[in-house]
Amino acid sequence: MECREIEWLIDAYLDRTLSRRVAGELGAHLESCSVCRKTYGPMLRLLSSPEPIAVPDGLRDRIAAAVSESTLAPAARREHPKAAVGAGRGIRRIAMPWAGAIAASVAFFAMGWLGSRWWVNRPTELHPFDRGREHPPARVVLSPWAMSNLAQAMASHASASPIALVAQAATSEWLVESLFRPPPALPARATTAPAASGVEADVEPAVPILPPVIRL
Amino acid sequence: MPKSHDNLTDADLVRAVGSGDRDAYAALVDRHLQSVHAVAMRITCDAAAAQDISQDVFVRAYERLYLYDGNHPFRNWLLKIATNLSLNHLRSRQRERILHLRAAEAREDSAGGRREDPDIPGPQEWKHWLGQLDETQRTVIVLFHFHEMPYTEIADVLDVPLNTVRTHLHRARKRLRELMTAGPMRENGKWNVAR
Repeated sequence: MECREIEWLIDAYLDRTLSRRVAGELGAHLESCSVCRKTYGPMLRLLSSPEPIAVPDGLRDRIAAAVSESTLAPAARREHPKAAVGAGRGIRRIAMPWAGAIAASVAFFAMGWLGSRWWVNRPTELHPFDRGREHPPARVVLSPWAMSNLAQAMASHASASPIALVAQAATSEWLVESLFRPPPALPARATTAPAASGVEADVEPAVPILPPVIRL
Repeated sequence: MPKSHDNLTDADLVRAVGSGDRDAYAALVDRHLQSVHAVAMRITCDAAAAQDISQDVFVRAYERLYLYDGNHPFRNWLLKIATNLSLNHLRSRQRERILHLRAAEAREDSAGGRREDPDIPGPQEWKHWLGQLDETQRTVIVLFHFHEMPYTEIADVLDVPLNTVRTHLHRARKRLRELMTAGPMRENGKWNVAR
């Protein structure tokens, strides 16, 4: 056995993966080689035979007193160990932290969805405030995506800025719209009844002025 | 410890505690107090802190016994709590620790990088040597070598991958070797390598 092999053999010995035969050879080498003995000996002695540590007097009584004064109610204490062996604990631990977030997310999504549907499909007449204006004002619709993102941020106590939140929602909204929106239909050509003069005239249909919709 | 508990396994005792047998918990304390106290003492190197931590370990374990799943030895579960509390204690005293390390480095520098002090502690002075390792290296040395905890359990305790535990252990041994060979050799009888 050569000195350069000793380092990894010592590691293997300390990892308890060395066979008894090789461990014997290692011991014999350390007996005969003063350099290796000086290099590895103190560490081997420290790790192989740790000094026992005595439990201080009175510590056991102190622990017994502390346990008996535990703040948990006795009924709760009795329940805990039974629950320990029972199944289903893992599902509860995983699901509970997310239950609030999921519920809030679903609720806000539903509110956003219903709200935007109502806004889009509301009667076309202008609000009393808007009467007399030449063009109807822009509609600002908080989309379900934005509501869902807001809910998730609130439920996870995220410290996201409102601008980042709106940008995130607008981006996701734009992505979904551009991916799933059907191609726009061509406008139907309006046909009018022949005029009295007998000349057929193509008249452009009247295009209603729709208010721009800003979806957040 | 009541005699009726002597032949029961840890799992039996945990179930007995669940059905309201307080003596069963006293039996568990008797069985594992030595290991828990030793882990706390070796990681913190502080006798008073080790006592406080030992007490906290058993109170917490009692209050949260429902979290013990029975898949691992009860002793390792206790040692995991003891290790985490000890590391928390060390982190809360980080400033003092840094000052201590700086003082140790200053002593090393003044000795010209080699320990020539004739009063340098021998290998049995674990507190002196382990106190010079960082907290993670000390923890893996204590758990693996002094309490024979397997790699997988240590990885679980420290919440690191298995190979990280191996790396920490390798570096800790190397550091110990460097520290301990820097001083004068203390011959102490024959080597007892073969187990």
